[in-house]
Amino acid sequence: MFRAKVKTGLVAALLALTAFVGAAYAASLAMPTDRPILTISGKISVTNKDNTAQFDRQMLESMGLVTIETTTPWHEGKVKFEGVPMDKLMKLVGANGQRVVVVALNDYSTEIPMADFGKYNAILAIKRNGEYMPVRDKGPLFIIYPYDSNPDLQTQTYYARSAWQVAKIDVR
Amino acid sequence: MSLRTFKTVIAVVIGAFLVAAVYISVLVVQRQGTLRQISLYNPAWEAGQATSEFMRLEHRLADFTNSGSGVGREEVELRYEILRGRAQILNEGSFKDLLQSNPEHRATLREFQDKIAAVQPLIDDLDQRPQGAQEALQILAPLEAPLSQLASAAHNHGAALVQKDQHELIRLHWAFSGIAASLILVGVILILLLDRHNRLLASAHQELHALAHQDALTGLPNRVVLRNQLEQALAGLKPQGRTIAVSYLDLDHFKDVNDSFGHETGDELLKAVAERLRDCIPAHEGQVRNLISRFGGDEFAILQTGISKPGESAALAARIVEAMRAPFSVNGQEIFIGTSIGIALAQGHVTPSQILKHADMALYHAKADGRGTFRFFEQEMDVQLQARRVLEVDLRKAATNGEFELFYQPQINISDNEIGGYEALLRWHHPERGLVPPAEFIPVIEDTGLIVPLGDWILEQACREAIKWPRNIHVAVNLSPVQFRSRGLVQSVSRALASSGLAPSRLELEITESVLLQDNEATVSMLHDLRRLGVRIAMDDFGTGYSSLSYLRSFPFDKIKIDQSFVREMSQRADCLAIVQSVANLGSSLGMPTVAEGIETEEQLRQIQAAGCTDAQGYYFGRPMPARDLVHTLAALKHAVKVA
Repeated sequence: MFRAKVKTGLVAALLALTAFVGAAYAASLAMPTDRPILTISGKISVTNKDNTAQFDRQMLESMGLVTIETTTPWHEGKVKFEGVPMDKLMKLVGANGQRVVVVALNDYSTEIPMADFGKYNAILAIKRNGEYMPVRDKGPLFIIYPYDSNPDLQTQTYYARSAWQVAKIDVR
Repeated sequence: MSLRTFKTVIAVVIGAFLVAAVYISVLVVQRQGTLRQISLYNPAWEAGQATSEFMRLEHRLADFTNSGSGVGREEVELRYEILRGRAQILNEGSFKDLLQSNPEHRATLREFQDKIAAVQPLIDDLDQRPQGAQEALQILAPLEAPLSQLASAAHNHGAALVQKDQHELIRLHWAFSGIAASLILVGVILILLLDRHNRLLASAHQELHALAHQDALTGLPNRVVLRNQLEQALAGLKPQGRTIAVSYLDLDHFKDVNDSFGHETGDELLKAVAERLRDCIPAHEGQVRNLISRFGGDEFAILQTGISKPGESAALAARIVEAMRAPFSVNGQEIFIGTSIGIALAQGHVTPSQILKHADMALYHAKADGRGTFRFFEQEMDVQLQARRVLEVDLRKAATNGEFELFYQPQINISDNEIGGYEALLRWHHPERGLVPPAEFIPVIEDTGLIVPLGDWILEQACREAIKWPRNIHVAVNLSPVQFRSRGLVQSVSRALASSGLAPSRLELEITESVLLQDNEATVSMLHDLRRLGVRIAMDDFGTGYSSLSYLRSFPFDKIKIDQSFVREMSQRADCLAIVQSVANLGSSLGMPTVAEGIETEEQLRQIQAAGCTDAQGYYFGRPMPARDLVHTLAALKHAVKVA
């Protein structure tokens, strides 16, 4: 069994800096410059448009990406995902809820306890094997757990929480 | 079933148990796997999603053609992309299995994907050619029915797979149940086997117990049992209540039976004795309980509990003695054998060891009383025994401490009217008690074997003293039967003579008939050896004991000493005088001098003189005295006696 590696991106220090910057700009989140691909709504304190936090791809990427290498039920062999830690994303928007409802482009929705993000280091993947994911291939955003690192994650519960084509996150 | 087979069976059963347990855990894992598998079968969901997205794209396309609906190219494109994603998924995972099972479905899917691919240029170009939306709808419309069929086929396929897995689960369930049942069965078998094993062990234990507690020869309980019972009985004694008694018995002269009939007969006799004991000793007699046990050899012990008076033990002992008097018929032999019994009652705080010892002491006294009888233990016996122990200890130290001394009593030759010799007599000066009577300590030195080295010392001392005496006065030394048993006697005598230089003819050895009672042949040959040295042999204490005349024939004695008991009563009893006369006559006929012992009066001297005795000894002439006080002439002796 392969073990999923959670690469902590550039440096931990950079992360800390980002968190600090996030806190400093708590009241205001920059407006997306490109077409938004993610809308976070619900119990959040940091917003940029109509009580929601909207992100374009560049905004997400600038948060710093971490890598998860793991096997999944949807791909052959080991796959490398890069994305924003969900935990970090939730902190950035000042999420204040017990769970989130993730809604996909095709309106598939799934509910994830907030605790999952800190506990399992789930990420909101942007890239697969170094490439941006197109909509036709489960893109643009995909919730990925490090399945290989923990047998508990290799169950239908977590596979079902792993939504692809993610478009909206509602914090409840 | 032997214990070995049994162990093998148990091992096999336990092995089966383990294998079953391992297999069960394997089954559980398989079941988990199958259950997980079932949850993964969602081709129906995939097909449904594809159909739904297909419809949504059609809707968007239709809305797009309808200007004013607000649906732009981007929206159509997004739906198209999502549908492409869905179409792609149908090529993967569980859906692929479905397609492989059915070429028709494969064709449907291929057509679906071809057509979706075909509409891409139209969608990409919508901004330039809005009518492309209408064309795309026309291309896609024929797919509606096959796609729904595919969805239902996927549903059926999923159901079939689930059913297959359910069958597998059922199979696993049965296997699981079967194994569980066999586990229970094996467990039950194991319990049964263990139960049997325990029983085997218990019976083995019982056998061992019997071996450890039963005398193999007679089947009677052994000493261990008796001791245990005795301990319990003693512990349960109440101060004013009923008491217990131990009767210790052994067969009189059992050794003789073994020696003359052999050990087999001896063993048979012991069995017969045990049988007779069982017959005459009831296990219960009123409140009294009797336990017979064999103590070893020809010794038996009977524990009586619940007796109220010694008479009950006495009655039982008398019965046993009586029963043993009747002859035993063993291996065609009629054997007479008696028994002596010593009885000890529990008195005060007595331990099992003490009460057994007391019974043994009583038995010793019963034997001393002439066997075929019983005696109760008396405290006196213990006192005697203790006294004797003390005496023994003191006697062992006496020789090295120089506490022994020889006294000499003159023997008068009547015809010469002069001292002819002295009888050497052993005296013991006890450091605390002073002179100890010979009758008290002589038997002890004989019993303990101390007589052997002491006898040598006496011989040497007597010879060394005698050489100093005038006129060839001889010295008479008493020999004990024990010395004859030691075989070194002849050598001791010759060594004493050689070291002192005393003429052998001046040494006279006095023996009693008891010497001749033992191992006659060897003794007689030793006597001859002594005679050959030139020493003289006197028969001592003649007239007591058996006084068989054949003794006089068995060995040519040089002298006969008539026991002093006859001389002492000669004046009062005519028969004593007659015996003295007869022995004197016998001696003179055989050419043997006769010595009368115990002369205390002049009248007695006259009488033995008249009877024909050749020599006389007694207080009349002088008491035994130390060597330094010897005077060596009768005149001086008489003077000394008068002065005294």
